[in-house]
Amino acid sequence: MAFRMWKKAVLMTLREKKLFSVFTLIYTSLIFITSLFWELAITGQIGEIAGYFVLIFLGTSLFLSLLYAWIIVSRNRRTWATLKCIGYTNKNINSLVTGKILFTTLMGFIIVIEVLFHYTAVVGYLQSAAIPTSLPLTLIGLLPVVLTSFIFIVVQMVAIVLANRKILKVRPIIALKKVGE
Amino acid sequence: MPVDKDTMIEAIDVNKEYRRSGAIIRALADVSLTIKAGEFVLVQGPTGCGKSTLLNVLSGIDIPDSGKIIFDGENIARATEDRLSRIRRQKIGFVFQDFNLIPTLTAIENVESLLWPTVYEKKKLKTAL
Repeated sequence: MAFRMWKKAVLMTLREKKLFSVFTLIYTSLIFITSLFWELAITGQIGEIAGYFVLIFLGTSLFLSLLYAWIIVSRNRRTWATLKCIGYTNKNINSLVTGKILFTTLMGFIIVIEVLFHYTAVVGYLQSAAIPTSLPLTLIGLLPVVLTSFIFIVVQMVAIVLANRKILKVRPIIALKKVGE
Repeated sequence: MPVDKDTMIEAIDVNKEYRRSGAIIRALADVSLTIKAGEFVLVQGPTGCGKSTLLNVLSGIDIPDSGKIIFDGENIARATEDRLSRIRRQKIGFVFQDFNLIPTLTAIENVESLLWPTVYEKKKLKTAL
């Protein structure tokens, strides 16, 4: 059942174009930068400072994930209340919210991986065509991306727990109040 | 349990108060009524007399401060939120005054969204509609 609700969550997320685009872009940038600095920290290219940057970006991602969860619940309070009125349980609504949050993060990852593939393809082409370039063939290795993805999923779980707690507080009576009341 | 097996809704000494700007508004004061299955009931009265509050508590959207509401043999005044949701889904139909459409869904999706948690197959969904 949760899978079906997640499919509907994807549909609803894609229709909220502005919010979805903004947060996908933010997540993409954060995942990319975090992975990049993680790569630099692992390879020791810019020393200890890279590790601090990784922590800063992860802190930022936690803050933004919580903000996104809060926006999803607060902006759509009337929608959630309406769904409760027509018989959605808290679990049903939590599935929708979880789907929305995870889909946005997943899109960020897909875009980062897509960008990294294209980067390697372009650099590989330049090298095979004997065009001189100082760029490395692989910008970010697999390990930093996997590490970042793991931590981002943990961060999303925190945001989902917050969203689920907020959903419990949405009373169905809100749906019957006039707009702006 | 309802006295009569034909009884669909029975309210017993239902009370509901609101606090607005520091003042206590007693919307429902010891309301008792019985509605039988298939009975057509009309509620009328001046503005602010508690008609909406009565409908809200009878349908499980709002919870009374005290009293019992026996809906189809079950006291919904003390039911959990999820149990109330299931009762609303299975036994109660709502017509919202302000339509309450979900802005991110199309007209047909708004109608079928009611069935999303329970009907999984597309074919069955279309048949149900």
